[in-house]
Formats: sequence, structure tokens, C-alpha cells
Amino acid sequence: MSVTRIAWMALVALAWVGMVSSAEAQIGSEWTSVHQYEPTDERFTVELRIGAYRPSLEPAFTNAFGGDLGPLLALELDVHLFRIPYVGPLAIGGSIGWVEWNGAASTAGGTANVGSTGMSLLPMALLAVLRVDVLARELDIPFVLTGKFGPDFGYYQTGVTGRTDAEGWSVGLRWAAQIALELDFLEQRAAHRLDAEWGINHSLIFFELYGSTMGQMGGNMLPLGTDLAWSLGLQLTF
Amino acid sequence: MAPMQRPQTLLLPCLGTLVIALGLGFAVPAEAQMTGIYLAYGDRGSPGTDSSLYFSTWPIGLAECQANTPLQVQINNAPFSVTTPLVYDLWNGGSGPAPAACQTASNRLSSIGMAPCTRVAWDGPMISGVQQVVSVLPQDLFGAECTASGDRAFFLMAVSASNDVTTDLTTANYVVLRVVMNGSRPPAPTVRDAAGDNAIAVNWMLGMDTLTLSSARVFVDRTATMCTSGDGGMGTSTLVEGATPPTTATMTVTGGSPTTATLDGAAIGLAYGATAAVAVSVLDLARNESVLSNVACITRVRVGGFWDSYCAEQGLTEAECRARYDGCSVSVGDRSPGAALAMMGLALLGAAVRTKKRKKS
Repeated sequence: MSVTRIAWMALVALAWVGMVSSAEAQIGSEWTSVHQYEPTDERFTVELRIGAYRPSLEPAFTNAFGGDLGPLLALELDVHLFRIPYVGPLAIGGSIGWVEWNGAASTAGGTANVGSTGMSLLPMALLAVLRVDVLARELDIPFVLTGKFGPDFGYYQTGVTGRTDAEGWSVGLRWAAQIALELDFLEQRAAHRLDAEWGINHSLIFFELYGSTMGQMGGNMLPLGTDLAWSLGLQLTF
Repeated sequence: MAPMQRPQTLLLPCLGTLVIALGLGFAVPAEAQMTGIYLAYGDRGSPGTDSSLYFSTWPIGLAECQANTPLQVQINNAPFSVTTPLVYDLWNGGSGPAPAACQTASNRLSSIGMAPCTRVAWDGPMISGVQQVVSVLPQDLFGAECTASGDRAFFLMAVSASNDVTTDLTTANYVVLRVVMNGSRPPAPTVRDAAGDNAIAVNWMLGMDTLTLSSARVFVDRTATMCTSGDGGMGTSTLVEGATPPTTATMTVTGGSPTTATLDGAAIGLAYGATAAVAVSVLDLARNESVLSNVACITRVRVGGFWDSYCAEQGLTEAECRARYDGCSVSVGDRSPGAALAMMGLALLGAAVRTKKRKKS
């Protein structure tokens, strides 16, 4: 066996040992690099919703717009103030939405096909929000119950094709009760990854019942509030 | 162990080469890829507009032909001859999908009396090496009467002498110009009576054989008495069914085969309850205009919507309703999103100022 051949074999052996040790080191580092999931702070909640809304303007509303339910599209952002132990976060939030209703216009003489009549409303609210998430946090029951209360504002416009008849503001109070299903239980690891990478702690789908006294508390305001309306949507806590 | 990078290192140069190749392909000017003279079809504007700079694929209309408005043809890549100045010659190759091959000398030889190509009385000096715009008169193509509707293939040739019938031309020395003339008016539409306030929707039906129209013109006669009730239908109007449309229209509606126009009752000077006569003409792609449609009546009426219904329900007149809801709640004006945004902005500003004051205190 020549010296050259021995040298080559030694070199190959060294390279092999080096590769194996490098691979082991990599495997070791992969195992040791796994961190335990630590949830990030929950500071905000955002809600995207769609629902039906009809103001208390009967029977003129039904005469003009029939059974038009909107829909109402809205966005809400809550800022968490603090967490009540074994209850859930207390927050303040703001919401803004948009809804429009349309129907056929008419004339005093009953002439048909003379255009359309419409009304649009931008409802806005400032809300105190209490989210009771103790079921999900302490008992692994993936439901969050929420109550909301606060002043409600609405800017509206109404008219017929080519003409605005009226526009203005109405003010009142809004209440809401919500039940939400936390989706984390469907794929716990994905939920943790969403938190680690994007800071989204929880994602939920919700159903909300609410009412408003907008324009019904005196003053010369158009009564745009409603006894009961509903909405559903997606909620993210981050 | 280092990851395998070879496929990536090969892939990137391949992609780069492809991109560069595509880039070069796109970067080659179209003119460099052409051989011989060719037409650079300009756009004289869609039908209904007055721009007539360059010949385009839109057909020529009867009025355009009768006025003999020159078709501006832009020609690129004109050939060059050192020995003999070249001129353009225009030959008619006939109609249909397979016109006569006028580039072949024998097809232009009129001495036999049966030449499939005929020379159009037109020629002009050729300026080689530059983009040249030449004018072709519609009546040279379709005759002085403009009755020869249809398509024609015209051969625009660069030859050493006008009426050259002895030279076979190569593709470098001629280009085919296909022109379509539509000499017939589209059928007049049928208009229906309409009523409304600020948006009176005038609708009409197009003739069954009308495939594509470019625009419609709406004419309103406020002085017409034919729409006044109680006249026994004996009233008159300056608008007459089947007549040539007036030169000035109240409104022109453009777009693919329009069938409706919205008139503002106040803008055309109608009081509530007043009527006016209305008629419509339509224009096809060749800008041929139909005769006037039937004459219909429009009436300006007060249109009621939700607001009228709500005020009536409250037992209020419109004025009382406004007075009651005026102030912080209601203001009346144009329906503009600007007002809404301004109010929202003010509300937010107020909230921000209040928050800041609280923080300071």
C-alpha cells in the first residue's frame, strides 16, 4: 500500500468523521432549538362583521325599501385596558360600519319607473367591552362571552335618483351581547405558530345580538336605532 | 453538510437567460422586423368623435364619402431608388376575401380590356426613408355617387412611373389597403314616453337589424304643444318623425349601442308638471345617422322616496319636516360624501382634543 494511497484513505476517513459529526451537531442543535410556546401579550381585538340592520322607521321604511336588510358591514377595534382575574379583559373600542337600503321611487300620481330611492347610514360607536374568556382559558371550553355598551352615532343620507332629500346625525346608546367560538382548539400548534409569527393570540368566529336607541332619546333626530339586530363575523385577538 | 446548491445555481442563469432573451425579443422595434412598406394604422378616434387624422379600421360612412373627406394613410418604410424617383400609384383590386393580385403586371394591363385591377386616379411623390402620410379621397375609391357600399382592396404601390403596367412588384414596393364603406343609415329607434324629476330616463328600442351602434343623439323640444293634455293630439313640435335630425342635440350618449339617456328635468328647464317632446337618432360605426325616431313626451313630476313617505307618515309637509329635523340632525343639500367625511373628521378631531386636554390636566 503506497503512502499516497494511505494518505487518501486517511483524508476520506477524516472527511467522513467530519461530516458525521457535523450532521450530529445539526441534529442536536435542531432538537435543542425547539422552544416552549409562550403566548404574547393580548392588547387588541379586531372584529370584521356582516349582518342585517333595519332602523325603527316603520312603516315608512318598509313602504320605501320593502324587506331590504342591508347588509351592514362593520369593523371594530378594541384596546385592552386590563384583565380581570378569572373573568377576562376589559377594553374600550370603536366601531364603524356602512349600510344602504334601496327601493323604487314613486310619484303622487302613481307613475312607475321614475327612478329609485335610497338611504345610507354610517353607524359609529364608542364601546366599553368586557370579554369573559375564563371558560376558554381555565376550563378548555372554547367559548368567549362578550358584553358591550356605549354611545352610538349615525350619519345618514336619503334621497331619490338625482336628488338628496335629507342628511344628518342621530345619537343614542348601543348595547351588544356576543358569543364567540375560539378556533384554537381545531389546530393548537397552528394557533401557537400564528401567535409566534404574527402575534395573533386567538382567532374566533362570533354571533352578536345588539340594539340601539340612536335618535330615539329625544331631540329632533331621525330614529335610526333598532330594537334588535344581528351580525356575525371574524374576531382576532393580538 | 452544505445544502445542494447546484440545481439553483443552474436554474438562475437559465432563468436569467430566458428573461434577457424575452427582453431582447420585446426590445426589437416592430419596424426592424418589417420588410417593405407597410401601413401604420393610426386611430382616428372611435366613431362619434371628429378626429380624422389617420385611416383606421372603422368603416367610412355615407356623409364622409359624400363630403369626400380625405383618408389620411400613414406609411412607413418607404422604398428608395437612386436612379428613378418613385411615385405612389393606387389600384383597385376588387372586393371580397380574395382580391385580384394587382402587384402582378398582367393584372393591371388594361390593353386587353379585362384587367381585374383598375387604376384609381391618384398618384403622388414618394418620400423614402421617412414616415409619410398620404391622403386618399373616398370618392376615388367608391365613386362620386358613393353608392358602392362594401369592402375594397386597394394596392398602394411605389413605382417608377404612374400607371406602370409592366413591372411585377415585390412586397417591398406595395401594400394592400382594405377599406369598407357603409352607405346606409341605421334604422330609427322607437322612443317611449317617460316621466321623472332630476333623472328622467328616456328609453328607446333599436331596430332588429341594428347590430352595433356607436352613439345616440337625444333631442328635446320644450316648446312642443303635442304633449299638452287636452289638445286632442293636435299639437305640434319642431321634431318630426322620419326627418333629418337637427344639427344640435340636447344630449349625446356614447358607448356600445346605447338604449337609454337620463335627462335632468330642471336642467332642461321644465317646471313640475310641464311636458316636452323628445326624439332620438342613432349613429352606426360608420357615423351614418338615422332619421328621427317617433316623437315621445316626457313629463317632469315630483318623485317621492323614503323621505316623502316618512314626512307624510309624521303628518308633516316637506317644509315642516325639514324644519323639525333641521339643526344638528338634518341639513338639506347636495348628496356628497364630502359632507359626511367632514363631519366624521370634526367628530374625531373633537375627541382627540378632549383626550389631549384630559392628559394635560
